[in-house]
Amino acid sequence: MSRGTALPAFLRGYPHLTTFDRINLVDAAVAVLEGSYAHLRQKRARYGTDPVGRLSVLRARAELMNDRRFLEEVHAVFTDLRDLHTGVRPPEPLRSAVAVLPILVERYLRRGQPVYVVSKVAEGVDAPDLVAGVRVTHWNGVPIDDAVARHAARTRGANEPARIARGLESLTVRPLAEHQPPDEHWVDLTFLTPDRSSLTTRLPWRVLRKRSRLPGAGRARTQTAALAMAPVTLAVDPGGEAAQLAKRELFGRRRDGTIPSTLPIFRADTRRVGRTSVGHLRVWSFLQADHEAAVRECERLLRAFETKGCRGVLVDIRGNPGGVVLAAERLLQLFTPNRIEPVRFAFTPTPLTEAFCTVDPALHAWRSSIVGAAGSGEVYSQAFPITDPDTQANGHGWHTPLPAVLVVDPLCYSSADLFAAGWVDNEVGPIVGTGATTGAGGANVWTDADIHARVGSDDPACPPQLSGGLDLRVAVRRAVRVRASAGIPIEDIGVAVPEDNIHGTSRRDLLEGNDDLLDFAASHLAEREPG
Amino acid sequence: MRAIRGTVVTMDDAATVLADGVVYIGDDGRIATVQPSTDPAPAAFAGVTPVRTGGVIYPGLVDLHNHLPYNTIGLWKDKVRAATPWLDHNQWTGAASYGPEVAKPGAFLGWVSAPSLIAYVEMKAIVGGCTTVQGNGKVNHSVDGSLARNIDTERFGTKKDFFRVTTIVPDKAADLVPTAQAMVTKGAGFIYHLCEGVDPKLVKEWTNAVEGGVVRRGFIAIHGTALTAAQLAALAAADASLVWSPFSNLWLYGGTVDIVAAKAAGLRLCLGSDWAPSGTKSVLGELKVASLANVDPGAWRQPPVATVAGTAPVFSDLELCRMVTSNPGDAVAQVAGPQIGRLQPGWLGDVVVMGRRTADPYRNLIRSTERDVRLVLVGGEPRYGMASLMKATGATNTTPITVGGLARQAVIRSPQNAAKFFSWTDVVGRLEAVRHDPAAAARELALALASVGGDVSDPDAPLILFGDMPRPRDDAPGSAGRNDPPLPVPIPALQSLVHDTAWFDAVDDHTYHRGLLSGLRGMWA
Repeated sequence: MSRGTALPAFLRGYPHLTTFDRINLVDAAVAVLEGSYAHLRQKRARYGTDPVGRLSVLRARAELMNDRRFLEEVHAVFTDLRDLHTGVRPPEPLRSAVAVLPILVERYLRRGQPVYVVSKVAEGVDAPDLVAGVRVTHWNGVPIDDAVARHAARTRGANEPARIARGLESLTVRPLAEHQPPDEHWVDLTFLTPDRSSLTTRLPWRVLRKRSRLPGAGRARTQTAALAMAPVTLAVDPGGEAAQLAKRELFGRRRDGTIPSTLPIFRADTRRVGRTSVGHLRVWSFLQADHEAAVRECERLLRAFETKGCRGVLVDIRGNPGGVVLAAERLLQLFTPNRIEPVRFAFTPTPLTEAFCTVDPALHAWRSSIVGAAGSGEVYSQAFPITDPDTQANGHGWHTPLPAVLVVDPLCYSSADLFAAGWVDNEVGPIVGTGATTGAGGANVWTDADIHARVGSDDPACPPQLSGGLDLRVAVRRAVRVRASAGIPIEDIGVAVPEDNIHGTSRRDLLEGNDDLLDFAASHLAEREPG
Repeated sequence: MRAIRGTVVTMDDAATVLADGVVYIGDDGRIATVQPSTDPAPAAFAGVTPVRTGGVIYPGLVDLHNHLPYNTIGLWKDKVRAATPWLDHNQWTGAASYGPEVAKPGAFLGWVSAPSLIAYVEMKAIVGGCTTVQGNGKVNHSVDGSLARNIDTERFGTKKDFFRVTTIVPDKAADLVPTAQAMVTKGAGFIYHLCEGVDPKLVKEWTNAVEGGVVRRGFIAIHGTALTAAQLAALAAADASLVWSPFSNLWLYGGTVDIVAAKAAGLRLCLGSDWAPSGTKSVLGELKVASLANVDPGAWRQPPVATVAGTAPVFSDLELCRMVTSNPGDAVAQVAGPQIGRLQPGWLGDVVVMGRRTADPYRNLIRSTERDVRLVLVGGEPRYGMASLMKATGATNTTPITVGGLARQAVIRSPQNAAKFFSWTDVVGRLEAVRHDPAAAARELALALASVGGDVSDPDAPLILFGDMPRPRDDAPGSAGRNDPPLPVPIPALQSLVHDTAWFDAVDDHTYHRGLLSGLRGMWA
């Protein structure tokens, strides 16, 4: 594989941060965490971590560290929050880089024990015996189970299933905006060939450039003032998006569905299940700023399933990193006659969040409860939906008569979590998954530029402007569920999959297009007949 | 409203000069318009007759590097040092003579006679045509200056604190970060002594400044003598400014900035006279030093190098004059907007009128001496000048003063009360009284402080001007601190206001400068 740049060559261009850049970053991070981080209290309680204290210690040592060590330390502080929404994004070239090996490693369960296999091999790998399906036994000489566990511990997955899923992915795909570059320049992969002989092959890390499609991801910092009051409705894991893009480059463009979609966030297929057919709607992400277009396209695809005689729809959001809250929540109404109650969001009451809600008309609803919290001691503001319940969550006026099942995994995150929560809480249909929960990211995420667009530099609560090409993302509004689960946060908990609805990934799933999983999901369609 | 007429040297971008022009200044202290005298007066100035100055009108000169509390003291020569230049700014604070001859007298005067000290040192600036100075040290109460603007505390009619200033060079980049944050978030400027000396080890200060994030727009570096060509280029690229003090550099370190490299980099250079112990008496003097260095810059380096043919003179006369007008004005404008250094509509009516020595207006400014200063306006208000011009411009509360043997008048406001005025006799008399009996002055201060419980921040505490230079290294801990009055020390004779024979003799008496500064005497002829 010769795509991208060799890791040693890439590391020669590691960005330099001045002492000013570093201390500025630490000061800004402390101000943002204390002033606006919605989960600070929860993370302290759940993980016993004190990011503000650790950053204060780091501030004193910032000048003495080399660039890589400094960014590693910053990264470690945020890793321990187990929150993919909140963290520091490094400057270029790290920001848009993804370190990759030319294989994917995935796992399935056999008699309850995990088995690790190479599920995909990129073109051009010079190792004839390394083919999809070979079983991996060691990773740089470390038994693969232990290697995955160590990688899982270094990810920001919010719960055990999410950490294992992300640890497995980070074996071979690491967005450098979210991960540190690999320490090793290559990996010695030991695997069993079909004839059970053990081979070891050396795979060098290479670095691809993948520019994010997130709104504002490529802008220069000097332009941030011009952002003024752009609506902030993102809920996304940017690293997950970068990983998706890198995998697509390595292992080939996604094939089109049998029903072509005009939006890249969807793929629609029909598949045979027994003597009937079902629709398989893959939703790769909710990164669709024009959420109205997402609703229209989804309706068109669902109508096509009906036309083709499908008896139900499998809505598959595995690996979905999230995106625009409105895009996710507005789609729910297309699958059910039930009225959709959208997820609610709450700020933590501080002078900084009060400033947001004073300045930005779209946030005025939250202001009075933030002001009131000073007297009542409430730790969160009143919670309101981002998606308007009448005009947006329920206003479309059409839903499919087909029953639907939601398919999730521990890698689906953020807006995908919100979608899953809405699916369950509004009783849209059954949920099945390859793990016990979704990825558990429940918040609306802002950048430091979103904050500066709403708070003047004269405000004492205003964090310092970042420099050196760094930026900061933070979960400012935490999401809580509705109806029967009213008030339960999504962060760290995720959306649970009932035990009977969990499907252990099979070898056939990994190597033959998730046939077992989708059959398992389709079996749940029987619970509801077309109306 | 005032209007003054003469040859107007605007120092605008086009270097416009009106052979016979009028500068109209409104009641807001800002220039309304600058136009040929033949043009009809603006409607708002109907009935205002322009005052004929008979001279050449320039923007008030700007001195962006000084330490005013020490400016009653003469040139300092450390006997132990002999002819050996110091390598950097950390060496001379350890010299045995630094405490008794420089630091302690300056600090003592600041404690016991701040109002008179401020008036005296600002008068030194203003008789050199300087309307804005830098380096007034810290004070325990807010002051509004006596005569000149002081850029460290000048608010330009706002409540904003435009500049951060320090003469202490931190060891760590991290210590500069809060200042850099203020520059980024509040748009503050930063005036900072950088790489002062000739020791290559001073590169650490540059690295710290870069790492600390202060090398950016709004940064005004002072000295920079140890900066390399690449570092000067980096300063220019950051749109920062450098204040050049060639006299002081020669006096202390035997060499000055690589001005050939600074010019090549397009760096914005300003002039600063630095303090009296190692500097000229005003930027009018420093301008002449710069013009000397300009013709043989290699000889002014430490160690000296041969000046490369074709590289000198480095600057034109216009460029030299910009170093005391529009260049510092532009550096200030980066953080405070259009204020000083140019005669253009909207800019402040800070003006100096010089006599005519030569036809070329820029060479005329370079050759002007204190005796050629005919009138000085600050914000359109007459502050100093010939009696006839002071009267014609409506000056009140004037006090007579003799400068360079010529009778002049000045308006000296109390630093604490703009409605109260000092006479020059009182200013000098108070300082001489302290000189005569420092112990009595110390007792008087002790009584005044006792009446406010020793709290210098008490509104009724006397005004105190704290020296901004390092304390002598052998100084006892706690002495001359913010709440610890210094002990009485002998005070040297007050240095005269002008570059006079005694001063030229003192210059020639020293050998640190390899004779390069001896050419100055001829420039006052």
